[in-house]
Amino acid sequence: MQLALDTLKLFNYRYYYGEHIIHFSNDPKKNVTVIKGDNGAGKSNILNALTWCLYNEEVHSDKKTTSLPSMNTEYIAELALNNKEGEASVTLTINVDGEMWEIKHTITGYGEKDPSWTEEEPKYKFHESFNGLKVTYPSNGDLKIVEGIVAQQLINELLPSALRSFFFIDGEQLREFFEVDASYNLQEAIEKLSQLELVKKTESSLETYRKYLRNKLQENNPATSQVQNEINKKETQLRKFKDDKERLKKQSKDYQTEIDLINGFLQNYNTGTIAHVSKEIARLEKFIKEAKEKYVKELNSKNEYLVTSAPSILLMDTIDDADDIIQQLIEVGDLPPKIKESFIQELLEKGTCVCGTPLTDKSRKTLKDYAEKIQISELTGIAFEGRDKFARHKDLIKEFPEMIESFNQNLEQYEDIINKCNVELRDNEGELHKYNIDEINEKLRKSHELDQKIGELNLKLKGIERGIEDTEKNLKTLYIQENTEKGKSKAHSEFTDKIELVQDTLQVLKNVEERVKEKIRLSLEENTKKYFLSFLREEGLFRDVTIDRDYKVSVINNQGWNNLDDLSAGQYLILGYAFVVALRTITGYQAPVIVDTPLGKLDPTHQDNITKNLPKLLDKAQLIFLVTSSEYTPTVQKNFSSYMDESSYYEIQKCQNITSARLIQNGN
Amino acid sequence: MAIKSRVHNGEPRNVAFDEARAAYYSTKRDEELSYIRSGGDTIFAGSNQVELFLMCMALAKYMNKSPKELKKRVNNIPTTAMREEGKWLILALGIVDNKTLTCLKDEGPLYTEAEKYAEAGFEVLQSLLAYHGRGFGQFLEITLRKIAEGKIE
Repeated sequence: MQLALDTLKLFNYRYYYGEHIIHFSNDPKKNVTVIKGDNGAGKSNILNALTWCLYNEEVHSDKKTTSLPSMNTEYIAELALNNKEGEASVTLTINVDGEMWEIKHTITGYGEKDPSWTEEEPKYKFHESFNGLKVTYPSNGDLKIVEGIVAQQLINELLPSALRSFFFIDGEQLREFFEVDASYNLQEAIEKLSQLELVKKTESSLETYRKYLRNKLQENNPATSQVQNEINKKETQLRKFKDDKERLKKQSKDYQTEIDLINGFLQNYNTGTIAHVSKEIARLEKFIKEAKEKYVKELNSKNEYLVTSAPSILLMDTIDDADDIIQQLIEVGDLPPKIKESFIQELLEKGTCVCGTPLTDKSRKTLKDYAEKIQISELTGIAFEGRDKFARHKDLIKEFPEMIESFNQNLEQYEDIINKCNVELRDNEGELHKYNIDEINEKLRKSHELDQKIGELNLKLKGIERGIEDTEKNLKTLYIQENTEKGKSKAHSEFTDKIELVQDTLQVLKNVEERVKEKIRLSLEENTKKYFLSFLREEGLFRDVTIDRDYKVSVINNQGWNNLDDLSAGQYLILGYAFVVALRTITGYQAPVIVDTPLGKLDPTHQDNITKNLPKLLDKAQLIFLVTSSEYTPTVQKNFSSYMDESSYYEIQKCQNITSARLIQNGN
Repeated sequence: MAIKSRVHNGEPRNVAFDEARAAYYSTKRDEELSYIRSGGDTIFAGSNQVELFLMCMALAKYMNKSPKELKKRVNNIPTTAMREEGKWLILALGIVDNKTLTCLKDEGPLYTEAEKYAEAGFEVLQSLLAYHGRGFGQFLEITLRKIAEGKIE
């Protein structure tokens, strides 16, 4: 699918009073659009307008404006003074495989004077009366209009919400993206890109069919019904666990987003010290959270080790005694090599030795004694196996003190880190409290509360993951039992064969799903690494970029350490671009890429490198850059010039009143 | 990779605990009494029934408790869930109590005896958990360390 933005119309949206239209070039060779504006002029409003229109969310968390309504405040004042209702909207026209779609997000409402309103300090409130989404698109020669949830679903099919972080990029928020959200977003993106919806639908239908077949079989075969009832129960339980897991993960992510917003608010607060201290608090909180997680993980491993080792150690004497008993039997020769009883009986019946010599009374007696020992000799194999197991228990007992010591050392280390960071955290918070700003204190309290909630959710999540693991194990055993029971009932082989076929197919589908996702992950990893290293001018600083099975991104430096948390802002930006290009390379997914502050954190060398290569690597995809004057250097202009036409340059003019802006095409 | 065990003679399909212990052995997450439920607050949280069973059995033997009859058997722990090392703890108990290897010709009675040990050991564990509370893990660690280092006779 090929997507290209055609126009973006802002109507009384945030800084943009009245109507403002941006036309985007649809020429694949002229794929760059530049919108230039000073800090605070309203650049981020453009990125916000796009995500607000498509997903009812504003990705750029400009803390100074989040408390403002989406409707332009000048307009709200006008509505309040004239006592009437008004509208604000963002309308996006998109070219989808050559056909024009229109997406419009509208809010209506009225303004009212705030009780604290004065002539000198006029203040207004906004009351929203409508908030809706409408999509108009061509269908069978006509135009079809859908609204609300249906419209949202349609947009999600067009530009999946899971991918938006990779196409609507806020250059200043990339650090947080990679530190906090990356693994969750990557997982979602890979799920989406793997286009496994059909497989999932098939799985769901097959599971329903399997249930139907089981019920049928139960009606006819009560012997298996007990096992199958248990299977149905466990499968329901497993589904519930999985739903709960998804729900909790989403909740945890929402809380984290809220914390990020608070941290961002604190960092952007008006004084340098507060910003610095807030940043430090956020860093320490993250560090403590990670250390706590590692501590809990280590403690669980230690407990598991204690529980599994305890029986061997408590029974140390018993194991020694049992081993001695076997040893003594071996020493007195009562545990000979295994002899076949039939062989001795044959010799006794024949009355001759294997060499042909007749058996004497003495040899007959020896053979009869031997036959009595056979009982024990049959146990020789199992006894030797026992000795092998006893030896393993003894090894475990021997290693125990060292293993426990190692667990304790690791736990102490994590405890030290947590304590040290907590002291630092308290100092920093004390520093912030000195400012005695109610809003800051409230935000800090809220942040703590959310952090605690995340901790609780993580604990619940761990429990659920264990539950999933246990239930899957139980189900595996139950499936074996079910097969055994079904094997006994030949009469219903038709049903049992069908169930087996469905189960096998489900297994194959699950394998396919895993393999496709794994392939995408590996390919994404390989391409991200390739582009990251090629975009970076400092050769040899980094040697690898990895995306592990939990979708955690690591950037490995030349000494083998993961440097992700310590990348410079510019390096995060380059990593972000590497991702976008990698996603595009492996999927061919053609969607516009919109970047706010795309070059601000880059030095001139990297600015040159990125602006030269990005339009080439993302050819045919629209690139929309929201830049400041300092980013739009002569070198950048030169690099972009061949990818732009006259109409693809806009300037935002900040009006005297700080809450209004104007868009001027090509500077005119 | 572990070598596949030779077939045990007369190994039962399941191992039982007393019905009165069922709640403690429960794997259900919402069973408050369960020692092994995920998210519980004992060191057994997330362990399986076999591990709890073997712990009880070993505790009874270590504390020289006499095996205790089960009032009503709940045959709930599949032997297939037990690792070979675990099975050999049960068999070691049998060999030592019978002072011979011939008992391995039919393992059924050895497992029944192990169930009785586990029943006796359950009471020990219950009282230890009640006494030590959340400190049980630490108590167990110290005790095991002393045994392993030969500091307890």
